[in-house]
Amino acid sequence: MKQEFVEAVAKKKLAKVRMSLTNELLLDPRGTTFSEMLSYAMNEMPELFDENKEAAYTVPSQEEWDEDFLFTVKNDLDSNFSREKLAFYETVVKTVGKSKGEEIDKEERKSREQRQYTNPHNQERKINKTYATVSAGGATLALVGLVAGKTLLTVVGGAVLVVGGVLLLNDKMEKK
Amino acid sequence: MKTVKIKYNPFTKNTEIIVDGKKPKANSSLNFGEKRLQEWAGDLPSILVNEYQDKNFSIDFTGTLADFEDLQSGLSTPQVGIHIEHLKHNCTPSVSDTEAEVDKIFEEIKNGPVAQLKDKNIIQAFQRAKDLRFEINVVATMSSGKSTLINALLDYELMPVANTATTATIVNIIDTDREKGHYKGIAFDSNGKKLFEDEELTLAKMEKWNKDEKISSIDIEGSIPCVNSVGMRLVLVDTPGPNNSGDQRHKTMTYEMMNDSDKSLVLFVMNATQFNTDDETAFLDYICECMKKRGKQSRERFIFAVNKIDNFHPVKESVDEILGQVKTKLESRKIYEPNIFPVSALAALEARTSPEEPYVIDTFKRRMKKYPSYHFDSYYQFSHLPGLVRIELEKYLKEAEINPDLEEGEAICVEIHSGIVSIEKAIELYINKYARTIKVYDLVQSFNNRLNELAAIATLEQAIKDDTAKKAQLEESIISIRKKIRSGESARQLSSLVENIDITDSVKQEIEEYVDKQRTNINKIIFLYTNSTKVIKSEATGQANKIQKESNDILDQLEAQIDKILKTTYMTLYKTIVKQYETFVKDLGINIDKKALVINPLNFVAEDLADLDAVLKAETTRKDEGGYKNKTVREAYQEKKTNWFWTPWNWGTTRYETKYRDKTVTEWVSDYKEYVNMTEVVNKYFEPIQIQLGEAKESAMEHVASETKRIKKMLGEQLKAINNALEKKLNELQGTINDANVTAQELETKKKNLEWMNGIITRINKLINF
Repeated sequence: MKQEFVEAVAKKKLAKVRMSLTNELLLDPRGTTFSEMLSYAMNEMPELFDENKEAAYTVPSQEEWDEDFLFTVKNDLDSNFSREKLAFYETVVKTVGKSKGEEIDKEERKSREQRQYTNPHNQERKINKTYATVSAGGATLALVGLVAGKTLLTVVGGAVLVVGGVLLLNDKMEKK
Repeated sequence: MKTVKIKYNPFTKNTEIIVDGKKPKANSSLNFGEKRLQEWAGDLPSILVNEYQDKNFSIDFTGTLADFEDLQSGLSTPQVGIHIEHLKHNCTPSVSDTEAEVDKIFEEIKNGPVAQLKDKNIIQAFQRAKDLRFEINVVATMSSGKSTLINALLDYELMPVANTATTATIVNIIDTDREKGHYKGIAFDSNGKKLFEDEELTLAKMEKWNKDEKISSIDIEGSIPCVNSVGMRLVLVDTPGPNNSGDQRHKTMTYEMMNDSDKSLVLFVMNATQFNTDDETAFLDYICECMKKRGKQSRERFIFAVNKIDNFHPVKESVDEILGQVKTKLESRKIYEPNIFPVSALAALEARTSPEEPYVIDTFKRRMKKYPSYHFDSYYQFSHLPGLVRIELEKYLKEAEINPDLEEGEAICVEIHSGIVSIEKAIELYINKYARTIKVYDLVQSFNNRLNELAAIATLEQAIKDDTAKKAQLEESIISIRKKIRSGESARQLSSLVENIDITDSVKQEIEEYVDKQRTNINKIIFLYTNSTKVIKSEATGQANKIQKESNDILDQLEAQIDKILKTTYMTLYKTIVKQYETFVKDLGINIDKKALVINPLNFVAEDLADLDAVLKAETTRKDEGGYKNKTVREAYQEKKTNWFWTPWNWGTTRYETKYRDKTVTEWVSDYKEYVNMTEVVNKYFEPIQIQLGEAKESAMEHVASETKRIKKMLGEQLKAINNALEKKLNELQGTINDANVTAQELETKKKNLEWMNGIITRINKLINF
């Protein structure tokens, strides 16, 4: 929730609060932030809603809802900010803005992944993990060789363990 | 086949249509009300085909030649496949002839026998109607040569040609009888206070005034010789345009003048070489809004002059193509079928003023003779000028060709081919067709009411003169009406009529429609962004500037638009009530003065918008967008070497040699970029506007309520005045009836006066109510 909105609620700027709420749904039709904002505003401002008046438009079937209808509903809501009209607007925006919501989801996922990929610490961790895996693999082989009494397996396992250990050691030395 | 009889009166804007001898049904779309022919002519074919299920029609039209031509053009709409078997025109006198006849009648009235018709008030009202102004508002895009075009229209170099941005001063050039080339100028500040006055205004003085920031507007009186004013007082208004004016009042004026359709037209000057509609987006959108409403009249009202068209190569480039591009660009802004006039204002000015050092005229003359594409008057497919103008221009050209003064003849040819004369003709046509009809009607109305009233009383007097029974009947009526008035019954009746009218709902709907359209525009933009949308700062600045401009335009237009809605609604209400009053008093021959309705314009003081720079600054984030890159670097290293055996003093010590090798390293390469959270910018920037729009709507509704109250009060007072007038006239009539001392000579004079008045009324009815 933005600080600006919190301040508008604190200062009882009714028009600003209402407009921020309806705009927020346009920006993010999924309504996550909107729900937070709404419950905050409802707690702090008992005068938030107007009494509901009859809407001047006719409601088409849900399949016919489009951007034009969405803006008609929003304009009507901006003129008469009632609880009922806000609820209906939320339904319409979630329907009409469904693909926009999905797009935002996709973008957020992508940006999370990108953050992970581009972080240099992640890369280091990945390299360390590889060396450690090699060492662990060598140790396991050597152990199995010892238990099973297979000298060759023990020698190979030991060699892999040494290589892995040297790689880890060199990597640490390099960073110093 | 159906036979359609159409009678259209351009003065009263009344249309009568009879199809196969029958009037159209009450719910028919053929009941055009008080719409001008130009507003419905284009729809006529589809209405006829749909309502009468027939495609073959025979049409008989009664009206002026200009209106007949527009009807013909409307009927030629191909899409509905209408077939006009016969099209007959019963020509009524032209507007010019009608005005001349009205002038003649008024002269007769002034010299006539009825003293009451020579009243000072009547003469003043006639003079006021005679001086009706017509504004030509010249608006332009940057560097389009607007001043040169105005100078060409004035046939005098008066307006300074600015190399820099257009000045923000409004200049009104009022056509007077002053000698050509002699202009009087008065400069005003933004409060309308007179700052300077000059009896002989010159180009140098205009240049000085133009640079003076204190000057907000300039009124110039002088001759506008090249535009035929066709009986109107022309005012050439050099408008800075909403984009170039920092003055809020100028912006509002610009939008208002675009709404006033009958008494003004808009000359939009563009630069053919740098044509960019994006510069004037909001202005062109507003033109589009205005053009939607009144059919052909609106199209004719906006003249798009494409100046500097002679800058193109006559062989390598095609004027047709250039004009086609202009047309496409205008149509992309939803300005359909624009009237486009190619023009070389500089060639026209040089042909008219013969300067010592001409700049383009010699080249123009040579090219004009060699290339028909340089005849800018001949692009009728773009200008849509009627065939009559073509014939007229061809006649002028022929006369110029045989002019014994070769130089003069050539200059006339340049004038015509430069395209300036075509623009002047378009202005003349518009004035004649729309503004002048209103003027003629107003002229007639200035004396017609009084004339009819006097004739009605005189007729009554004549009727009862020798008829005792009728006299008694009339006396009885007078007593009955007087009783009714005194009892207050009629006042109550009419008061309730006024009280019952509520216009709030219809006005509210119109205002809401307009405000909601602007709100939707904003919502559409917001819907484009998400909370994470980030735009590179330079792009954001560009977008935000565009948004800022558009928002300012929205608020500028709003005031003019709401004012227009209120004016139109009040005028309709006023007309309705006046009509009802008229019906009420009709039988008694009492008429009502239609006073002009003055609406105080709404004063929406726009709140300060959020400071764009501050918003951008606050929302800017700096981000390192670099990435890891593999890089080959040359690396130095020390190689341990055995000491040379011939340097024994080094034996036992270690020797190193510096060597170099290539090494691939992965490095972070920084790339800092400044991003702006566009959502925040738009949100912070648009929210105040959205709120303002809501407040403006509320304010408009409050204004409607208070104005309704005021108008109702005014109408109530008018009602009282009517009752008083009624009583007065009844008393006069009573006095006449009972006057036993009237001599035979007086009776004879009265009889002759009545005959004379009836003669005048018949002539007027023939002219105006044909």
